[in-house]
Amino acid sequence: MIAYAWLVPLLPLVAYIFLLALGRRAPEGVVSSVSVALTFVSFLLSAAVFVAVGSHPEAATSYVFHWLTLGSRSLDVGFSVTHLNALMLLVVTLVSTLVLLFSREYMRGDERFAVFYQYLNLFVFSMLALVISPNLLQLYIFWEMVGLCSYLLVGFWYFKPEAAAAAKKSFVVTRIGDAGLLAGIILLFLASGSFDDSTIFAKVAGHSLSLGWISGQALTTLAAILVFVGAIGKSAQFPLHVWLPDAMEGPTPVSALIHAATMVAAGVYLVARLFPLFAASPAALTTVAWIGGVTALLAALIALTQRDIKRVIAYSTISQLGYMMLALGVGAYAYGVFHLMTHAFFKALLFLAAGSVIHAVHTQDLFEMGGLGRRMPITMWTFLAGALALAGVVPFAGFWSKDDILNATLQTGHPVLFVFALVAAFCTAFYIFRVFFLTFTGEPRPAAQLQHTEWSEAGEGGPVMQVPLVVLAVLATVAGFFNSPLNGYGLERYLFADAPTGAGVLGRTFPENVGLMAVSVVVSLLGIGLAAAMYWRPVIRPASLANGLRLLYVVSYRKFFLDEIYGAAVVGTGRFLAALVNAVDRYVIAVIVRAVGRIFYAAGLFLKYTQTGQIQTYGVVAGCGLLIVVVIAIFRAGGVL
Amino acid sequence: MGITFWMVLMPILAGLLVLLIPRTGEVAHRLLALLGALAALVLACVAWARFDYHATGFQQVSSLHWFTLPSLWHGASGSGLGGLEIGLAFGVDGLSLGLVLLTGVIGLLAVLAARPAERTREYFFWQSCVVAGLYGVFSALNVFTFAVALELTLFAMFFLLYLFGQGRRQFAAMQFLLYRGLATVPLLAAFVGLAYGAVGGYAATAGAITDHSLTLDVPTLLHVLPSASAQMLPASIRHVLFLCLLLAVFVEEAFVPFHTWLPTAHEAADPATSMLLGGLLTKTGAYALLRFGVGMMPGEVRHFGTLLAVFGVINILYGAFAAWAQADWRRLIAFSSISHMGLVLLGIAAFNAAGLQGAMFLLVSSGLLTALLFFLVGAIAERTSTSRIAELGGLSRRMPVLSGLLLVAALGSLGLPLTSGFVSEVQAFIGSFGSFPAVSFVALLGVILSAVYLLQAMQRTTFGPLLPAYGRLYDASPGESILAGLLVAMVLFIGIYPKVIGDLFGLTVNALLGMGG
Repeated sequence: MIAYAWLVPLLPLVAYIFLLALGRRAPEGVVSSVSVALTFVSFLLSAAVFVAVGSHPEAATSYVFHWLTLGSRSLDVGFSVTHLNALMLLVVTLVSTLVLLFSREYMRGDERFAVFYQYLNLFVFSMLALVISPNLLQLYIFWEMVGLCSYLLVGFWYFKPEAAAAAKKSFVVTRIGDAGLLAGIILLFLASGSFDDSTIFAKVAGHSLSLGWISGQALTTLAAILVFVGAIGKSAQFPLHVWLPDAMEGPTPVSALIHAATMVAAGVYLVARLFPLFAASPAALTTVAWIGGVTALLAALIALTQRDIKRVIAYSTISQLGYMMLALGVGAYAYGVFHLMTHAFFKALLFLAAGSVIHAVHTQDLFEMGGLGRRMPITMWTFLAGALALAGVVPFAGFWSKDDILNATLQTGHPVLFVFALVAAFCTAFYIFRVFFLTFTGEPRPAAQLQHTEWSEAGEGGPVMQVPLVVLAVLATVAGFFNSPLNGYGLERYLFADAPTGAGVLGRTFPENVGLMAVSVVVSLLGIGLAAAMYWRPVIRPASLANGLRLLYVVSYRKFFLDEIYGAAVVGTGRFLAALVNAVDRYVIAVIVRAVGRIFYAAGLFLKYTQTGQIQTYGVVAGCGLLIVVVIAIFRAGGVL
Repeated sequence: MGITFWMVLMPILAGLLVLLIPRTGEVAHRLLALLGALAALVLACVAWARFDYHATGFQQVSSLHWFTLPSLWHGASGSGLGGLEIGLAFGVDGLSLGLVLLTGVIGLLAVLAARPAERTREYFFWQSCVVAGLYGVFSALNVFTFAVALELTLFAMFFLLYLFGQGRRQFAAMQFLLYRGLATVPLLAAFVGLAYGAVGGYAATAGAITDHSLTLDVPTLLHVLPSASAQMLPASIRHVLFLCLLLAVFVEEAFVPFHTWLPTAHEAADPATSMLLGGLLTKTGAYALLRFGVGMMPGEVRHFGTLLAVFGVINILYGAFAAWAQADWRRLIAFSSISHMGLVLLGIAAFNAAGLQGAMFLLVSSGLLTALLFFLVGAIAERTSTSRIAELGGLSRRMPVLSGLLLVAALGSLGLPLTSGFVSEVQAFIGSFGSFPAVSFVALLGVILSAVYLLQAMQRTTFGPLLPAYGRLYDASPGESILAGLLVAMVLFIGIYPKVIGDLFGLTVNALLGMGG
């Protein structure tokens, strides 16, 4: 079975090519049916691969083919199945199938319906190909390909200026990270002679990673941090997180699939996949942990005050990805991956439920919603499941994975990061239930009723939209048991089978801490309680609280002014340099060129007087010249010169 | 006469026949030029099909002797066995063949893309001359042939610009002629110096060459010079010769600060001429640097390696920042091409397998992508009457196909994986990180900047609301779609399966690095 794993990414590629051949006017039913069917088969295959790898770990291996010769080195492409990859294949195909199904209804009637499905299929293919890449070069290739799909889908409604700007921003900001990643894998290639993970790990383990200009340990740290820069860009970690909220300009199914469940998790996947490299450098691990912890807190603080439902969930994604990085950074490999999995389910659910709401009421402003629970019960209950999972309430999925991360952070001796994570957990519970109460409870806002005539018809989408919501809600509820004590930590055992060189390289497990579990649940419930007190049964008036904490409110609402700071510092500097170079080009170099031209011209003006046309003059000049030559020749012959 | 000779001759024959057709036979002019370009491409493909990947040296050699300059006349009668042979000689190795095929493709497509409003006879004559000259440059097997072919492209391109350009065409054409014309002076100086330098070096190559006379033969010079020049010429003279060559290369490649002619020329040129200029003519300098610099003066390339690398980075960044500031698509593409050529210089400076192979890949990739970009921008400008970015907007609405193709071209140009741009850049960077890590980190900024300026231009051209003035525009015609589609297909093919040209270039790379065939 494992030898056929290449079929998993191939089927979405087939779907893409098929849709491309059908053209942009293909009937919606055909387009969506083919896409969903092929991706679903991919999912079934992934499940088979997942089981096969679990039962025959020794069969997990790479299959490569020659791609390009570089001097004496051969660069290969192919595919590779490990336990981590098998898990990722399963998660990606599952969420993809559901989102493709959901989009059937959500995108109905869009004039570029077929194009939307083309892009989605291309994305699914690229993401799956990224996951089963046998080496870092191929991984980088598809790493950029998923970025391209993200660019195309964020800018799907290209005629909206905000969408066009957001698409460019997402590509350029992640490209900054990609440049780091490229440098990192090139250094690893130069130092180890291969792009192949296992070769690199062997060299790292043997301390034989070396280049002439840098010591082995410093090189390990440098390469790991450069790779991590790529992960910062892709996984929207501070300070490169600014593109993800803007990316919400894309259609909501895209936000669910690409900007929550799969692509943005690729950065976490990358760090997990190269964990043996990071583990060899304490400095790199510390960097990962701190970036993750800071991001988790920062994004959670921003999410507290946003008015746009999708932006709240987007900042929530950034924050949760921060948790995953934190887990990897403190050495809890399995927990980072575990949280990646649970998050994929409950965050896709939250986005799709939000999509269902937006589909019904045609607004994204939380303060124009309200009272939707009565009209959309399925959306409300499934959203609630997702919110409870995100908030980390027992026994929903997010509880198990987040508690593991808090536990590991504390036990590895990172008290500051632990506090960050705990505060972020409180904020998380608050902001997601703020969304829940504002959207589904209370009365419809008067302003909304006036502005949106469709309001009275707002209701559930068809079954095509409800099935994915229900499936994901079930997963958001139960997926946590996969790695709970009740299941004997099944996921950890599964993942640790990848350990390349003996136990310990993939981090360790941490004994359960029941007291901490209680604390984390209490913190979550406090957050939910505060949200309820403000937005459900208003005991505390939000406006007066915002006024009371004016400064903090503004800082959070304006996202710590990071967009403005970057706009001035980075973009401003770039534009200034561009203008400077252009000015130099136009007013310095061009002027010099013209001056040189004038010298030649002036020389011509002067020299033209030598062209008198008088034979006598020419004769005299020529005679003088000949005389000089002869004199020199005589002197030379005589040995004088 | 071998096929390489006929390959060069075909476009010239077609051009001469065009002159025989009366002024009004416009269809016949185009058809003849097309046949000439097609015949040359077919012959190039035959040369490719017959190419032996296990042989070393040049293949499909064809030479035409003209006259012999007695050794008494040129003075270099060190051993006095024979005269200096002057004539034409053509042949291909891996590097040549790659660029010859590129010439074939772009030469043919440029004929198809050409839309001269009047005087088609002159247009297609000069265009055929440019194509023939380019075939000659990339397959020349002696220095004399190389120089003649280069001069042919110079004059023919001058007339294309001068007679058929737009805007400041006369200024642009004169600037083009002066810059590239003056560049031949140091180039010839370097050639003469190399030829004389080689004479004294025969003894060093232990009997491999029996005829110890002055020669312009490229294979002989390639064989003798790398070892001989080190022993026979003083270092100072070798350095001067190399710097002469480098000066010529800088002008031909439009490297900063000798670049002003290129954006001006592109602004004035019609789209088909821009395809030839940006796709092929700006690759001749880099070819000369690889053939004569790396091939004949490897010691000097290493000696000046850091200088080359620094200049490479300056070009990458200068080109990228300048492109960011441009208000016109054609100037933007010109500066973008300057930026890419900076990476070529960096790859060559690295002087290792990855760097050299990456540089060669970049020549082909940049050739295809630059030609594609100019073709598409020309097609858009034909409809909107402008290529100024600020005057465009929302074109996707009316022209989804042209906009999509432009996006592919832009993405290839910014080095997106699975396009030729990526596989070229990654090799060049692997090479440069191997030799100049610090410089390479700075060069990576170019990777980010190319995304900035290209996607910003895309955002303002095809995204956003459609401007009212463009409400009635029509999308790409089938002919335009096929033409651009062919270029896109090649860009993707090289990106997905680079081995095909990688094996070609690998041969020359191994020869240049002295690893044998």
